[in-house]
Amino acid sequence: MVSSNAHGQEHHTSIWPFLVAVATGLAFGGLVIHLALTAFGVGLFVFAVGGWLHQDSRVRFGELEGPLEGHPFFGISTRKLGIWIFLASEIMFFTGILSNAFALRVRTEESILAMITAGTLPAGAPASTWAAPGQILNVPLTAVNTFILILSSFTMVEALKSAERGNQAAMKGFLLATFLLGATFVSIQAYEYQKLYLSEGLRPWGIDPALWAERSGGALAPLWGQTFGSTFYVQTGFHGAHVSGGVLALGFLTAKAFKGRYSAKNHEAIELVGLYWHFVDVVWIFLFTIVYLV
Amino acid sequence: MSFRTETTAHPRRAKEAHARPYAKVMVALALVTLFEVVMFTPVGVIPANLQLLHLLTKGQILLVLLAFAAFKASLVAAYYMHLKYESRWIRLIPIVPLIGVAALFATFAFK
Repeated sequence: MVSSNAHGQEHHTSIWPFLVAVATGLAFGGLVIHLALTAFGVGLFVFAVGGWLHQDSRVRFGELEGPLEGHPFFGISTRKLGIWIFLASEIMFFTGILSNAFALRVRTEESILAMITAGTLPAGAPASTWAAPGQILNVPLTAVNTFILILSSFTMVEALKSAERGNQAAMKGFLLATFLLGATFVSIQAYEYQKLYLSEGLRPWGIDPALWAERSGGALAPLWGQTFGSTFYVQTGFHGAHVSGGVLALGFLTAKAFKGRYSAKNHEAIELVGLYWHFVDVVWIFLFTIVYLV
Repeated sequence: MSFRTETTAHPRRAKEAHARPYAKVMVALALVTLFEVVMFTPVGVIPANLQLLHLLTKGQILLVLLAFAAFKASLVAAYYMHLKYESRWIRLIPIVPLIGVAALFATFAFK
């Protein structure tokens, strides 16, 4: 909704961001209080995001997407300041998840090593403290996925460059390419999950003993299986959820670009979604190292 | 309050317009990733006895790979996220949580 005050300045008011914040609070609060509240929060979140996107998509051709809010903080746009504060919170979020997983791994390896040293390892259990690189996870496939994400970061930044130069055709092409590369990344990750879950027997609560025995000539499932499975799915799952959100945002951005809503003067949304997309790339760089290579 | 129509108004960003090594950054990211996969995982591209996977200890591998990851992340943050060309106020924002990250890693290292 756009209104003008006594000085002729435009104000941009919308109930949707507020509803998104309330829905997020309810969804997380429900994890502590009751899961029904979480389900309601998620439903409200989807509804509020839909309403927000619908409102945003109705901006008329040639109009700046949302009246500009001014630059009250050292000449920085409020929207850019907002996305950077959000990304700072995301750094803390992923640091928490990665460091927890790492601490769990170290504890698990120390415990199993102590059992091996003391000779108390159950008979038939593998004498390894953690999965070797490539033992369970498909490193070549994930390396290809990593290249896809790197390429998508490149096409994203090229889309912004094209928008700044007013090159509409290049901007649309690069945005579409970024969207397709992002969708490919998510698709490959879904394929990887399906193979790991069904063929390798890697579950969030451990490795399926029957499948492991079948593949290793009757050996017991490794003792690290439970920690490996849970930390793998939590780390890659949260990242995959972030990429999926980014793909949805890119789809919306691309659709708006093809409707001619961005120009050399009006393209801040491309920069802001781009910042989020590159951040997701940065997180993957660390995840790929910690989960797949070490 | 004045309302500006420019969306990327900072003067440092103008400097960036003349030097955009985006393709070079992409090639660097891809090459380092390729090196990591070839040298540290059993993909069979080079003989196993030449792989750093078998020449370094577990701790050394972790340090080397984390250094590579930090290098790649810095490239993305500096060039693709434009931090190299942003005002110091924007650059301060990610530094605040990174201080926490550093403290956490220091705790791990000392333990």
